[in-house]
Amino acid sequence: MSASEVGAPRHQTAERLFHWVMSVAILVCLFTAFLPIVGIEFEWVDIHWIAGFVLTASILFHLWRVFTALRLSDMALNRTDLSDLKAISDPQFVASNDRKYDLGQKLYHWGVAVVIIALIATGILMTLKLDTPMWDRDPSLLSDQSWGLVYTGHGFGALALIFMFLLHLYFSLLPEHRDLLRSMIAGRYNPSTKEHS
Amino acid sequence: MDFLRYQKSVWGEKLLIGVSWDLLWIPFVAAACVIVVHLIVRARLRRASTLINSDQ
Repeated sequence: MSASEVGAPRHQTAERLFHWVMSVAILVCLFTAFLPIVGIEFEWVDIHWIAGFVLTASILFHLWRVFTALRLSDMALNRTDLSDLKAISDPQFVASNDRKYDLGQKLYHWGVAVVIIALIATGILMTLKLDTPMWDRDPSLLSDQSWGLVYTGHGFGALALIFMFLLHLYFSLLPEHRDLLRSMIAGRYNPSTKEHS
Repeated sequence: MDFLRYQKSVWGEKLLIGVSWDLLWIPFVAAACVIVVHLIVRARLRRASTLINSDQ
């Protein structure tokens, strides 16, 4: 099999592992949070905070990888990315292929990063109100009004995460993105076509 | 439709306790709107691209 058939390396094993561990943790967090709200009752609290800790650990792992093995510049927004906006009106537009990520991918990454960091920060505070193997609950840490703000922030973050998850699911399942989805499984990227997204 | 949930404290104060779950439909509808707009733009661009290619 030739190199062009195999494809170029895109995601290392550690990054793929991070992506899928984070995905499972997010899905567990979303389902354990929202199923009881829509009437499916079960003991969800322990599963939720444990999944939250797995999510936090996966994000810390990702940050460590960003500063030791990956390039933060790959995800930095720059002037070239803005030319991707031409794709909205120009049917003949061909995106620059000298970058790892395009404008949409970068905007999505930073958007979801803000939402997840907010969820983790508020989630860790909320966990301090629970008895866990690591600590006893301490509701007096914040005032009732402050706890209300923490819960509200966590709730808005969770709603935003549902929105972003649905968009991610849609864009990753588009036929023209099938190669990108495959690269998140197999690690190698072999674009069959270069079409608008 | 309420955006936030409140309860009364033991002293009768109105306490914020979180987001109202009446908002749960919003992310689904918002995502559906973005997807529909994207599908329309994508279809129009593909049609235009096909026309340009067939003219050449």
